[in-house]
Amino acid sequence: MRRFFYASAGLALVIVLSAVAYWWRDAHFAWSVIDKSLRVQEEWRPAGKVRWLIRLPDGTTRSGVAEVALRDSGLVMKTGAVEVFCSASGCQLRSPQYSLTSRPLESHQMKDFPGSARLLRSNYRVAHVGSRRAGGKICPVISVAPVNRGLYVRRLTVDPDTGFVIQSEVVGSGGEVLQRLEWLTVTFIARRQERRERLPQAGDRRLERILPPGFRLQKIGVSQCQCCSCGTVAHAAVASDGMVGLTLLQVQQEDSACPFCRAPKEGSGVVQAGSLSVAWSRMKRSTALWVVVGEVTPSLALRVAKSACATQPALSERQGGATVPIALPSSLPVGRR
Amino acid sequence: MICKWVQRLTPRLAVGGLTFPFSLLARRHISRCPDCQVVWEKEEKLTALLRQAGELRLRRPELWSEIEKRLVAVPAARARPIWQTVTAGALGTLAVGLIVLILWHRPVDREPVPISTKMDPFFQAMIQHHITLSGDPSVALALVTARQTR
Repeated sequence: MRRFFYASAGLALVIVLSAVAYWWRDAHFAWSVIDKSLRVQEEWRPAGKVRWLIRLPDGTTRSGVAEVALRDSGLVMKTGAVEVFCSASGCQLRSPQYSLTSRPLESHQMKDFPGSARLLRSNYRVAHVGSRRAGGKICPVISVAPVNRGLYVRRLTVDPDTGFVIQSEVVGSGGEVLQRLEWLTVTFIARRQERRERLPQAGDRRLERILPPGFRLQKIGVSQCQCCSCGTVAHAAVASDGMVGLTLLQVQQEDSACPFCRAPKEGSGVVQAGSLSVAWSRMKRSTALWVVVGEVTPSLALRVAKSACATQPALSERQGGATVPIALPSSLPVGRR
Repeated sequence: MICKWVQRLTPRLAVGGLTFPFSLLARRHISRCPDCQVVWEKEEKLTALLRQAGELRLRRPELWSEIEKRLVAVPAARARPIWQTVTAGALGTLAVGLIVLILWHRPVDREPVPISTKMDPFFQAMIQHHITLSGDPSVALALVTARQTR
């Protein structure tokens, strides 16, 4: 009887140890792939053809092929007749009907932002969930699941040799694919290395209180829409959890004839496209409109917008005195073909 | 609670059958607790009497009746009332249930969020501000498709 007991206990111990070792090895492998992928993103910029798929809130999906190119140290994404150009000097959307341009007037980096890689490790769990063939190779599929609520799970198919993310999927709470990006052809262009400094601890705590759990304030700035003469100015705070960016915008705008500057009068609401949610909230008889943009669930975006509307935090770099100005290009290359 | 356990252990302590740390703890408690001290003294006397029983049995046949009388004199430990057991069980279950509820509870958004499918130009402008300031061009896809699906 005693021998049987010892044999059973030994067997159970071996099984538990094997399971732990397997889990540890799997998690270690997944993190090593993600780390490699982050390094690639820091050093290289991809360009080429991308097949995209996006799910709309009514359940329908749209798909197409977009061309991504680098021009004037910015990124151009063109699909059909619509073109988006994004660079440090601004962002421009061009379509046959109109052109919409916005450019940053000020941008300040928060000193106590811990860095995306560190935030990613604390806010997400990764797992190696399978493999798929892509580009003639067997590529691991890594699931990046958020620890906090209100965010989406991502499935990344990563090239094991380079660490490049060949396909990324954003999966909704019901398991449906909200957005998919798959590179069909790709060329790499080296990124200009930016000087990174280790900065002292400080920060604007008042603003961070309304951010969702896991998010840290990264930047604050001012952006101006240059679509018309009225030029909406948006004071913004950019937060990140290591994977997802969330921008809180405060827009001061009275009645305007321009559709891009005509903000909702009062109340709150949310618009969704794929995994991107745009929520807004404005109090009665208030001139300030609060808008939240980010790849979070509509309910979370709306909650942040409402709490910002209720607390009315000041989006100014003078609040905390803990920012570093980011040098912006004086010229505006956007609009040049 | 401690008294109850110590009083249960006193017979073993008296015959020297209690191992080291427990014997030390029990002796320490007995030295400080008057109630347990009374029980311990009785137990000690009883043990001493029992040890002498073998010798005295032959000489004094009435010894057993004396021992019996002494044993009857010691108050019997009262059994725990049923209501205590039931209450303790219920409280324990409640505590475990609460812990499970706290650990596993995921608050559900009570209010359904009305999601609009129409991407107004104003919201496109807001997405542009987001891309401009965050420097994250990956969401440009939403902007492009929003424009296409209008």
